[in-house]
Amino acid sequence: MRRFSRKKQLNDTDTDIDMVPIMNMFLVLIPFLLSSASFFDINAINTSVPVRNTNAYQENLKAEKVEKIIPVIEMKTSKIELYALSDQVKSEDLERWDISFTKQGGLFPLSDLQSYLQEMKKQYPESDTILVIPDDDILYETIIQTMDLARNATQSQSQLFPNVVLSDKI
Amino acid sequence: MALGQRRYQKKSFVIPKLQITSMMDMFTIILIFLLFSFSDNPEKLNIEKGMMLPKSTSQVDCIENITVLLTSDSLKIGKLHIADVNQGVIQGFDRKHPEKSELYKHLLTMRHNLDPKKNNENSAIVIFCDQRVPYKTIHQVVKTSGMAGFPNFQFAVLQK
Repeated sequence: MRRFSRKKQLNDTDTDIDMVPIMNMFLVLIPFLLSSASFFDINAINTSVPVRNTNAYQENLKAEKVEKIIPVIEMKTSKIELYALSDQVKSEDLERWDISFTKQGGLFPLSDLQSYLQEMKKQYPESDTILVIPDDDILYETIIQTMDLARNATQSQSQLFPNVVLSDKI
Repeated sequence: MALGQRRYQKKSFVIPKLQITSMMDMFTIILIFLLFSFSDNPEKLNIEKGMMLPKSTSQVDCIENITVLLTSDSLKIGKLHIADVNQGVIQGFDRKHPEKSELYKHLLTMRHNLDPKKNNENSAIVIFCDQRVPYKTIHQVVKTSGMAGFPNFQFAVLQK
């Protein structure tokens, strides 16, 4: 028994793993990954400015039987005014959507605005364009927040109004 | 005696083992971190020092195109300084006649220089704008770019 354990001890010599090839691989991988690493993710929001309608566009609009509206968000210093525009919906129906959200504690009630936009989208699901008209003093950060919530619904992954048009007062 | 000493010295010399375990640990951590921040589209865009981009939920990638950088004190197209900005007003910019501005002239030149073989209808300007800039300044840039033939543009944002 003693002899056996002694034999075992003799066989249990330290085996060194040759780490040099792994180190070489690391030294190649690290500079490559460093060059292609992005330490901040820059994304983009697609926007446009209003352009003049062509005749073909207006004819297409008339031919379309689906009712579409364009919600307009007017961002003022103290409140947000929301109303809808459409060539296909009666003005009485559009006026139903007129609402204003007053600032609460120095902040715009953006969640209230979003749930209202969701209602609009539910009523007119084919609508995909929204107009944002900020006042001169509104900061860019606030505009981006508003554009974000106008594009995306909170609860689901569905989009509300993916085409955001930034405009001046009409 | 001397011979004996040398013999003793020769015997005591042991090749030192390099301890690379800790180095391997460090490399593994760096490798994992870099693998997580790997991007197939690394940013080649220069952002102004001190510029704070707003955060957004948008997942759209930035297209490499004409970049306009707007901070609270300067306006640039790429690396080219166009005008100073003072209290939200672009110096030398007439709101009633944007076509007389340097910005308009530069953008119009860029529009003409675009490759006619490519489909330029969707060519967009990428606007890098500081989150503290008011809309009156952004509007001047946006309106002018629309007039110069770039009605579509992208606002660069940081991922939330």
